[in-house]
Amino acid sequence: MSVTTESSLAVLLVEDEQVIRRFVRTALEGEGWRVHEADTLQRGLLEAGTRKPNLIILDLGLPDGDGVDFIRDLRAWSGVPVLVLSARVEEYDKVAALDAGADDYLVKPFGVAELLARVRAVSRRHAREPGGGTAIVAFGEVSVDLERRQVARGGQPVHITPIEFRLLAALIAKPDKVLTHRQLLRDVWGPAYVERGHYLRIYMGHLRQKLEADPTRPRHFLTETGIGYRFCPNVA
Amino acid sequence: MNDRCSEPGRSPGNHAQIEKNRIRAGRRASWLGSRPETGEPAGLPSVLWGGYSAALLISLSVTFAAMPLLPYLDQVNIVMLFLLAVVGVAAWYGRGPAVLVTVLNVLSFNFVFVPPHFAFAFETLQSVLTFVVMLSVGLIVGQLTAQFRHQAQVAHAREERARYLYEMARELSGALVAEQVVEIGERYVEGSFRVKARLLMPDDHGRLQWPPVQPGKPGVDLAIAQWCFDHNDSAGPGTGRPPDTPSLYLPLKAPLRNRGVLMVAPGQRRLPLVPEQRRLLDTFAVLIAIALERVYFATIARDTLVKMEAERERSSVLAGLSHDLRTPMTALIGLTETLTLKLIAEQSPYQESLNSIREQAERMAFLVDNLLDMAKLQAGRVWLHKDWQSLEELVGSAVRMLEQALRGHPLQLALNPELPLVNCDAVLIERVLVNLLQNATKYTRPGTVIGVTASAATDWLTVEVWDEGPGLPAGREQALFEKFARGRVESAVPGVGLGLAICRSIIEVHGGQIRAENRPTGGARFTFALPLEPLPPFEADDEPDPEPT
Repeated sequence: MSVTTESSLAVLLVEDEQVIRRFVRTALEGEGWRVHEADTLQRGLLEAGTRKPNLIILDLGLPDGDGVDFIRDLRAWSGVPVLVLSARVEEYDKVAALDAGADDYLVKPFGVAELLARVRAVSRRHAREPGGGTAIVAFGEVSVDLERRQVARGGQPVHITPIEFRLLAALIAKPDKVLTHRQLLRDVWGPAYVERGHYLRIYMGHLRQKLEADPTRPRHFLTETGIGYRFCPNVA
Repeated sequence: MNDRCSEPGRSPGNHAQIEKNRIRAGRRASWLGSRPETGEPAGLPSVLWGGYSAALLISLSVTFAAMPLLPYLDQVNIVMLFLLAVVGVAAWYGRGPAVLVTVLNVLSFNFVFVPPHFAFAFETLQSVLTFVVMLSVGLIVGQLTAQFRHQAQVAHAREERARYLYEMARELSGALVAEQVVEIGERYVEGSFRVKARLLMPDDHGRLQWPPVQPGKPGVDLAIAQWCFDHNDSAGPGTGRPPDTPSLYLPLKAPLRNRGVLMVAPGQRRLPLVPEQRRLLDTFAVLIAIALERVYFATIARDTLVKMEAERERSSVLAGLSHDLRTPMTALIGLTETLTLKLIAEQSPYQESLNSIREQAERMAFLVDNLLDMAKLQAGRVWLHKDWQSLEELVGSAVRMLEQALRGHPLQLALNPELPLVNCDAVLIERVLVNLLQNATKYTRPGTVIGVTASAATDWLTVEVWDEGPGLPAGREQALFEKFARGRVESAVPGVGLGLAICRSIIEVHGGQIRAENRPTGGARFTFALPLEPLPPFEADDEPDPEPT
């Protein structure tokens, strides 16, 4: 279904550097996207309102304002997925952007392949989200029955505690998406727990011990250092 | 000098003696009837003698003035004139001259006006009675009047002190820097007590500083002042320690700590001060101390603000620089890749060159990262985003970042899953691990093992990154952590030698240690240790895992 509408998908690119806009446009047009450009945040908000894009790619380092405010403004009236571009120094801006409702991020400098992979993941997830997930999710040699709250690895049932299961479900619900520490703590433990990072570290460790082949080098429950975690069902 | 200061309170007998002297001085002051509260207990004898000579003069004047009136007035009325003179002298000159004028008046009255005239007459009962009554009335009236005058003077002096205190407090409240407080404090202490005053301030290490040299200011014994400051106690005349200093030293006690020392040297007034004035001086000292403390915190607040501004400016410059440097790099890499895709489609022979361009651009991006990180770490305070981190997780993500580079090396990770969480900045510690692992891949041949080992002691988490390469140049192991240091001067391995300097800065801001050494079995080993802290409370509101079967 999504394949038929892909040709008419539009992306809004909010970036002040013309060279970057150019190669991103080339790459995205090669994938069949229609590309609208904006070089300031103000212009970006206007374009987002008028063009109704299916995806927004936003540079966090724009000179005319704070990208996080842009996302908050946008989220007041639109659920369009947002992919954030940032330089490494802006790590904590990135977290703020994700907490404010951005869907994913790319660190400059990034390659075309990386960009396209992220764009696909974000738009795929977005297309799937309203329909809800299936009851059984499988990744690697693990299968999770979300309705019966059962987990098996290599056909053998694995004991999962209720909190571990809540954490697992929260990660599975957003495949390929980076979830910030704050978001996970809020979803699994509640709003009062957003500052208790050690809860997350400990339970994440448990999950990896139980579900990863090598917990030290995880393939599915990936760490985004300083930001959060990402669940990758399909290992390349 | 030092001996004197180290034990200033040594002789209790001496202390008591001084105490006695002080009390005697106070009492003498009030007996003499001069202005004991406001000023000169025994200070200005000329005024005093003026009082007595005035008494003599007035007594004579009244006698001579009354003489021509004798035919017209009764003796009784002439006595009134003499009493009036007593009242006047008592009111103007106090008790002493009043006593004198009374005695003189009685004698001259008896001599001149009581018959026989111009001879003393004590034979008749009447003359004796007149003499006694006149003397007692004169003394009582003189005493009462002098007391009244004394009370008035005390009240006046109190009012004046209150005014001084009030004015000093008002001026101090407007002071913005410590120098102003010093100037105001010295001025008011000197003005209200008629002494010489100096305020001594400590430096950042609690050592009192020499005050600026000013003409007319008394010399300071810094050793006594320092003793006073350190022991939070006063020294000098009236305190009994040390026995022979001419000046009084008072610590300036503020609510939080001592802010300095007030030195009072004798000026128009001698020391020691009477108890009431000592108390007053203490009040002055407290006011000055509070003003100094306020100025101190105002300065701290201002400095902090300036530092925050500088910090903000620096990080915004770095962010701007990072953005500006990364933008062309992003464009370069992106455009190269776009081109690569095209060349692949055309099966062009230039693909290889384009790949090299891309690799070089990526290396440059990495270098820029290192330089910016170094700049950030060197700029002084790094804002650590600390949280409880699992080392296993940090090693895992560092290894994933270096997946390409580590491909040729078997990796040996010895991380106990029971390692405690460590409170650190994840991004920075990951950077340390990435730099150490990357060094290992750069300086060792493919196929050799690279390992990470971690262990925890009571309060340190120790992490080792080791390899089986050629090892480190002997004797230069620690020098590698200097900026722009390379293991070998002319090396084919690319890099500028910032990686290890960054590692050291990061570990040091975490309060940890890092060192490099050669392993006994060959190869290099980098070890860093991070301090462990007790984990915050953990409410395990969860069902436990069943025992493994």
